[in-house]
Amino acid sequence: MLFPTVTFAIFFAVVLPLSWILMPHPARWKVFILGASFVFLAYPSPMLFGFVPTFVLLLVASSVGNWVLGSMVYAANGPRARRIMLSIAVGANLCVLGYFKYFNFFLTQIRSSLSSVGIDSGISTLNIILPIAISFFTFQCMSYVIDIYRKDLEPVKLLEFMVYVAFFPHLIAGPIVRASEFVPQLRTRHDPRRIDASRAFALIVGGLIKKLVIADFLGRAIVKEVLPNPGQHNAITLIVAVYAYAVQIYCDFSGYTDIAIGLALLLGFRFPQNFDRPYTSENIQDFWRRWHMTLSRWLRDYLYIPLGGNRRAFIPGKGWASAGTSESVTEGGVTVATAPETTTKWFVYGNLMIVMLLGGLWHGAGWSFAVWGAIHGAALIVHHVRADKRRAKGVAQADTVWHRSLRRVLTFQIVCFAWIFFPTRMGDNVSPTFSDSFTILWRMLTAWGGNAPLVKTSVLLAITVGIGMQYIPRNFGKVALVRMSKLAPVAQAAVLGVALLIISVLAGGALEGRVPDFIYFAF
Amino acid sequence: MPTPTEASSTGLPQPAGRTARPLPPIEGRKPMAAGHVILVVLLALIIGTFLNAPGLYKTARNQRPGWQRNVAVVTMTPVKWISVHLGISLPREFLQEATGQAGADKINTFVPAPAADPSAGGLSPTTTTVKPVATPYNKMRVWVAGDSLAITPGQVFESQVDNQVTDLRGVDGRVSTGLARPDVFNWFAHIKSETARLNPQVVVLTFGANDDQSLVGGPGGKTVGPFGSEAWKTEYRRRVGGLMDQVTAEGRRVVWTGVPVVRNDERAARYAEMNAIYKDEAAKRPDQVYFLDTWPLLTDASGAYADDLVINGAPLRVRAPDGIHFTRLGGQIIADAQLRMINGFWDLVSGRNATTTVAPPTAPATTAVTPSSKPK
Repeated sequence: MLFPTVTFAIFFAVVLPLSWILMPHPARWKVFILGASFVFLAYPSPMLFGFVPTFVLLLVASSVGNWVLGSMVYAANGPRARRIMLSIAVGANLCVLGYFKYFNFFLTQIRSSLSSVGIDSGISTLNIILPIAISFFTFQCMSYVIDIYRKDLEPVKLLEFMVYVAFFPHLIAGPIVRASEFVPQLRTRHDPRRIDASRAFALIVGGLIKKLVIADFLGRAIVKEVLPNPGQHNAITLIVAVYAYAVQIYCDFSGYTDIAIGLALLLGFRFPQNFDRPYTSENIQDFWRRWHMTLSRWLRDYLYIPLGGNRRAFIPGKGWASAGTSESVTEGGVTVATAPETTTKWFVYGNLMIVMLLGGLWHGAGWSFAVWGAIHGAALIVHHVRADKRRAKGVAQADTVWHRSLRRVLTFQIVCFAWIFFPTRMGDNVSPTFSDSFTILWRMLTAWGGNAPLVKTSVLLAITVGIGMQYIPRNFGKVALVRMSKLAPVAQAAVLGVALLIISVLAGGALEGRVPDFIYFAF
Repeated sequence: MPTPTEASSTGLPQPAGRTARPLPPIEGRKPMAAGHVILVVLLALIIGTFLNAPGLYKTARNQRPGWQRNVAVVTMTPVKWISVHLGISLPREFLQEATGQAGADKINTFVPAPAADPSAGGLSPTTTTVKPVATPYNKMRVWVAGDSLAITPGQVFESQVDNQVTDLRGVDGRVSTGLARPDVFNWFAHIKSETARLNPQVVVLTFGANDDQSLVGGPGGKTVGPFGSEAWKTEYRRRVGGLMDQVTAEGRRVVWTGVPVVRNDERAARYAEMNAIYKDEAAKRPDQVYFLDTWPLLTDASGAYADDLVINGAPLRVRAPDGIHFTRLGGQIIADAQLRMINGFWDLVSGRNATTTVAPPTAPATTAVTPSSKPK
């Protein structure tokens, strides 16, 4: 079910009152919200045997499996047994993810490799339908098991765990919430007199504007016409299309999470922030602190730090070694070796690249995603090298308005350059191919002649608004929100009703018609 | 049974005589009770529904026939009536006019009727056997349009046409549309206005993927169905023939792309029925309408649907995961066939290197008798 549709509006109008009515009865509420979340996921969804919604079945199987594995990790005797159980859990999750997301990609690669040396393998790809939300709920399940292994969390009841995984506001495209953030909220009695409704309404309306008015417009007007057919357009059109794509992805994804966070607030739950004005970042590290923050956090805590983070290096024959000579690392109660700073530095750079490559591949199977991750990894390494050099020289970074602006512009260009290699489905199963990315780059440099009929004022305006909105000071809307919160409920409803009218018309009737899928549904 | 404390904690209206304690604000914002939140949400949706009633009514009508559509139409009919008659929809109309979308909520079910005897059409370009020659100075103007199945082949077509001699006037593919539901999107009216505006000499059309349903806007405004009945076939044939005549009336030629074989056998059988109609109607308009049968292009050696086709010895995916649409390679197969078909009645090769504006015959022979088809 898509948020900005009449179907969802009816669904939520039923779920919201029932949820608050059942809230004083936790067991009943959990069963109800779980059922509602399954309906949300199952509509519409391919059916198994004609009546079983496939995606729901997979979600239930994944939840139950991870809950069992989490309990087994907890109950295992000794660190070795715990580690084995954890490996089984992580391996099982990666297998599920690998089958649905990467299996066909590997088959294609094997077939191409054999074909290139003249061997007809006869391998054909499988007809695998990618289940919606699989990357998101698999990561949530993995974090649960790993947190138990790390003793950061105790096993929760199965019903609680299933509600945590399936809770419909975050189910499809995040934010990636941790069990340690969500489960305590399930156990706390929510005060029904203290709902931050004005903030929730602002988030929902803002999310609808981002998605329907800006993202979908840019998708229709230029992105899906230009990026899958770069050979037909000149450099100006391609450059504008790439900026439009950058704004479209941001508005589409952050619009979704804004709506998700707003809906959760209305149901009495708080989700972590997922975007913090990412295109105002002054460097690529800053960008990753502001873009898809819950994924960045996940990759940091469950991949980057276990790889050694920015503190440790793995030295063959010695094991893990800490940075410098003054610090030591304790592993299982044993102090391990230290390593020269340069060694650990290179390990940090390697870790960054690994994390970004895997972060890229998390989005999907394909060389494009790997290249996208590699560009970000390389940019992060360059940033760290420069920062290390400055630190070594004892030179501070210039902090004038001009320098900051320059850094922001440069960072945005790097991010946009990487977006060229980030293929998403544009319209009816059409997405730019890996070679299209190179055509885009080549024609940006060479195809300066001809007209650019798709570069219209409305497109440039939408791009400007999409980027400009991120430069609005944080406190700008605060006063309006405070005033809105003090209006009578009927007046607030009238304001929201008028907002729905304006969004519907500005979106060209999209609110009533066919809304394009959110881009991150594909991941 | 909930205790009194539990009951009050729902946030719904409190029993009389109980004084509510003022609650501290959240960052200056006044918190709201759950009961009020529910009230605001429901009221906002009701206000939004009445303000957007004409658009929502159109959406309800645009759904596929079934109980959901029936419920939606029955619900929205009085809402729209109230909204229009009380002037609640005026702000929407005003905003639509201000943003250049005036009339967007109107439902147009106009369907053209075919000529009495299509093959005897006075404006037929069939009077000549000489292939018009496209040159850099007098390019063949072509326009590609249709439902979602037109999109991927259209994009490949766009990248493959020889721009030296071809002037592609656009690829206009629209998802979830067709000839069955002019109330959703009226292709008949759209094609009429677009062909007048773009003045193509060749029109490549693809329809049918969404037409295996009852036909809205039949004679007398009635819905004709169910799919496959004699009444349905007669009305669909009337629409297909009418559209072909509408386009060819001004000397344009049509490449009508048949619906491809699909994974689902029942759906494939329905598409085969529609293909028979397209083929039959095209045959009635020789040298004006050319039917492209896509089934042989996309079936395997046994003649069955296939996700992958063996091309140059390697199995390559030609169909999208839904078993209906095309991958880019599948689109290329269709686009290649369309271009080959066009090459059959337009010479896109010999005039390619023409160096003067005085070239071999460059336009259909009908150009001389059909003023509207002269290059603009």
